[in-house]
Amino acid sequence: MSKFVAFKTLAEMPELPVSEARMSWNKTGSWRSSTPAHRGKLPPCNFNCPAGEDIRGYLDLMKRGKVAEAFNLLTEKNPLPAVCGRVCYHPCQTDCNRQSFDTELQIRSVERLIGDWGISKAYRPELPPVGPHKVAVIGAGPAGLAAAHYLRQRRVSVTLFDENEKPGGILEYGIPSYRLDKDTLKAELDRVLDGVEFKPQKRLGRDMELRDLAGYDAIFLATGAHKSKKMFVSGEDTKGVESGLGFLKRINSGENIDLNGKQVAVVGGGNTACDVARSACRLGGQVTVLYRRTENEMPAFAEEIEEMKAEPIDLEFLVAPFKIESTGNRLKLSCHRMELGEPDEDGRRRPVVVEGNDFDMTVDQVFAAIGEDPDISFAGGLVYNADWTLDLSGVEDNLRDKLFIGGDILPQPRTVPHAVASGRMAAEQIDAFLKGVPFEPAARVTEVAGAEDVNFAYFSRLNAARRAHLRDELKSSSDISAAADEANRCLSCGVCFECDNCYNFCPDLAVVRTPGGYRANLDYCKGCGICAKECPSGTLGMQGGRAV
Amino acid sequence: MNDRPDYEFCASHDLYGHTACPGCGEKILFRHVLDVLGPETIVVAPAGCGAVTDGVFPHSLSPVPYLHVPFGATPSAAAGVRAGLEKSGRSHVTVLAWAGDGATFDIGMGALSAIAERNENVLYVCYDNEAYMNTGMQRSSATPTGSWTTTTPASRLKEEPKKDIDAIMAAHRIPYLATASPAFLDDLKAKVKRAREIKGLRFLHLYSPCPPGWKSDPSDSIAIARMAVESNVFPLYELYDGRRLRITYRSASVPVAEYLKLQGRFRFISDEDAEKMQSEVEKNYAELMSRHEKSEISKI
Ligand SMILES: Cc1cc2nc3c(=O)[nH]c(=O)nc-3n(C[C@H](O)[C@H](O)[C@H](O)COP(=O)(O)OP(=O)(O)OC[C@H]3O[C@@H](n4cnc5c(N)ncnc54)[C@H](O)[C@@H]3O)c2cc1C
Ligand SMILES: Cc1ncc(C[n+]2csc(CCOP(=O)(O)OP(=O)(O)O)c2C)c(N)n1
Ligand code: SF4
Ligand code: SF4
Ligand code: SF4
Ligand SMILES: [Mg+2]
Repeated sequence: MSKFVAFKTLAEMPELPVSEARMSWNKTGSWRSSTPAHRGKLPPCNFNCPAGEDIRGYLDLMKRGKVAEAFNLLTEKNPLPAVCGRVCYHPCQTDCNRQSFDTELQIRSVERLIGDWGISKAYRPELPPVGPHKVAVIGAGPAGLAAAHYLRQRRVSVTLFDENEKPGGILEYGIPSYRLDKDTLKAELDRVLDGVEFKPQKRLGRDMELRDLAGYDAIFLATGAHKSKKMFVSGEDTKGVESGLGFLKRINSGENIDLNGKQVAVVGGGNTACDVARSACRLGGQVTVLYRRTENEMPAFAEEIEEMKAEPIDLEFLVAPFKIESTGNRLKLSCHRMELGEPDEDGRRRPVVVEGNDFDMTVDQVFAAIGEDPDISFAGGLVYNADWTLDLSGVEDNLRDKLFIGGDILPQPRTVPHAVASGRMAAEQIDAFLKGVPFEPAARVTEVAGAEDVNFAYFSRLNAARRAHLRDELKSSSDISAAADEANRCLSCGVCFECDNCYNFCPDLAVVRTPGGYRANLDYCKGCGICAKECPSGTLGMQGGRAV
Repeated sequence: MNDRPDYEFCASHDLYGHTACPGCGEKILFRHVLDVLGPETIVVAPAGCGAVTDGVFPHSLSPVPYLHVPFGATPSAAAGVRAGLEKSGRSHVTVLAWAGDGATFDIGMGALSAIAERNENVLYVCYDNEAYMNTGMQRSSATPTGSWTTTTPASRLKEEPKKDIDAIMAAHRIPYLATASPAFLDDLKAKVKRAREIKGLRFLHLYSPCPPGWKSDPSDSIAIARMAVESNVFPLYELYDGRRLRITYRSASVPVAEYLKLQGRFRFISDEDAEKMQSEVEKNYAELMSRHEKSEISKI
């Protein structure tokens, strides 16, 4: 830094007016009345991903061409990118700040392409050797898979039990193969289960009891929700009436089912109902979906409903069957017409019967798909409270402390990424438990960067033609470079992407680039606010006062 | 940190502590022009904000010699420095004349025409903040129609159009002329680089936001500069030998009103004048476009 030069006598003055020092003694920071600062906001995509993926982070790596790094960062939080890239309902895309500008980032397609890249490269991150601890995981659905995978990566020796022949849970036996093909699933699960011992066809409560697992240092229960809800309709046990989930499991187990020329009624409006209806349609059935409310209230994911509507499937809304009778080899279904009344506890309008409007229909087959409940009839001492939380007080003392639970068995949203998150969290928790240290979940930033934080002047809009085809193109693309192109559109909401704008535009050269990020040199920053306004990502903001 | 090299020259020479107002455009321009030109440069600057905010005697912000010269004498002084360098065998040194619009469009006009006609080997930069800002925002011949200044108050806004300095300089058939903006730094730096490589009189007309003079928010300086370009009020182009023209940035042609509304100096402009400004801008841009298309170097 240059010193301030002051002449005390005329003799000290140079003969010519020549400068003797620079200006850096002049700390112009004292002029400032507001100060640039990192806002620390989270991108909405990251905020909304149930699995907790650093989406913005891997999009950034993708646009720099670092696919392996992107794969690693993604799979730090979700070991199933090829699966989720196909079946996740992508809440990450819902609030993408690009939406109001042109079209939201096609994050799920990018995720799929990264997952498929991992498969095509047979990419296997190195496994650390196992340590002294052993954990039993019951249930090989997404929750159990994630727990087993992350425990193994934390050097724990894992045995994964499942009643079925193959791992995957709903992924293998529920979701139809036209949405998630078996080759992809198998390839992904091979990687996820690297180093994990998988024991198929072991049902807890039949082939073993909870107390048989006492030799393990911890137990993770993730048996899902498989008990189809009863319709409470007279005659629902009649031959020709089957649970939707049972039907899907038969198809997925390779059974040959022919519904050619058959009239099929599917009762329900959730994801299972959609999968059942579309599967039955593919097997030749003439399908009618009966739902007691309207399309608005359907609990199925919006995309599922759209895709179902694109197929030759009849949708009958505001209809509820109340009686099923056998008429020899067919079924008579008696139904009420319904209307929507007052909203119930979950805010959806309650269906009420419209008197005197009942009607009958004749079908060959009925699939009940009105939802599933968890089934814990296996587990000694484990019972549900009225709110579906689990009461462990009846479990034997030596087991209770080391029992951990996750996935659909808990009252949490029933989705693959939620199940994955609970499995991963369980792995972290169990790891802490095994090491005897307290478990501290990472603090979450909850302030989200909105469109108002982004400076759109630095991004260009897609033209209308590209916009119209973007979603479909990416959905069907199998080229990893398409993922990089798409990642290029990311606005990096709330997170610095080292564009240098703040550094370049500061009139006072008061922004310093350090390996840890960009910060204002408060000795000189005059608080003009240009850096914050020209920050494309909204990382920088101005805060009142002359912070020093 | 990204892999880009550091912009050593200014960053490593402590370009801090100057006395320009918060959000000053001139200082953004100065550091980037100097970054391109590097240490082998002599600055020749007349009275005006640029020179005054460079420091208080005996201190200077500038990491290269910075010669303060009388208001109207920049062109002549620069030519003199050039001659001195040639005589002492230092012809590789760039002479950078760094003058405001008052110094360029008005009081230095005669001398500027003289060095242009003689094609003196000088890089002449006019940072144009569209008024005599250092002495308190008096109008200059660079002030646009409809603008408020202390000598064109709300009751009598500036009526005359801005002087077309670029056309005047082009008429001298100087080897290189370019307009540039602090909002488009890559374009600006590329032009400074090209100018440095050319011998003779090179004229750069740089758009220079001035928050206190334009009654704009200091944080808006770059946004305004960007709008000036996007609305074609200040199109970006370069001109070789006064004839071959190349537009270097295709603007989005946003309405001029978008540009005006960010600045208090245009608060009193009549709708009629604003419309006139819009149609003038369109006419000028169409003319530039047709010259661009006719030019054999028009590929952007
Ligand atoms: C038809 C259908 C379609 C769906 N589609 C989607 C979708 O597109 N996207 C989405 O995000 N979510 C979807 N879901 C929800 C999602 O599949 C579940 O939320 C998720 O699979 C739950 O994971 P989990 O690991 O908790 O349980 P599950 O996937 O159910 O896995 C539990 C495993 O434990 C086994 N098991 C059960 N009891 C025992 C026992 N006693 N002993 C040993 N093993 C046992 C089960 O057989 C199963 O293999 C769908 C659900 C259904 C039913
Ligand atoms: C011969 C002379 N007349 C007047 C002045 C007073 N004066 C100093 S700076 C200035 C304004 C300069 O305006 P401009 O060239 O546009 O530069 P700016 O201050 O706007 O950057 C004036 C009028 C002077 N220094 N010398
Ligand atoms: S633009 Fe990028 S960071 Fe922002 S929400 Fe969309 S995907 Fe996330
Ligand atoms: S641009 Fe520079 S002076 Fe202005 S607020 Fe940012 S750091 Fe401070
Ligand atoms: S302006 Fe660019 S470099 Fe600076 S904080 Fe924002 S994103 Fe990062
Ligand atoms: Mg001026």
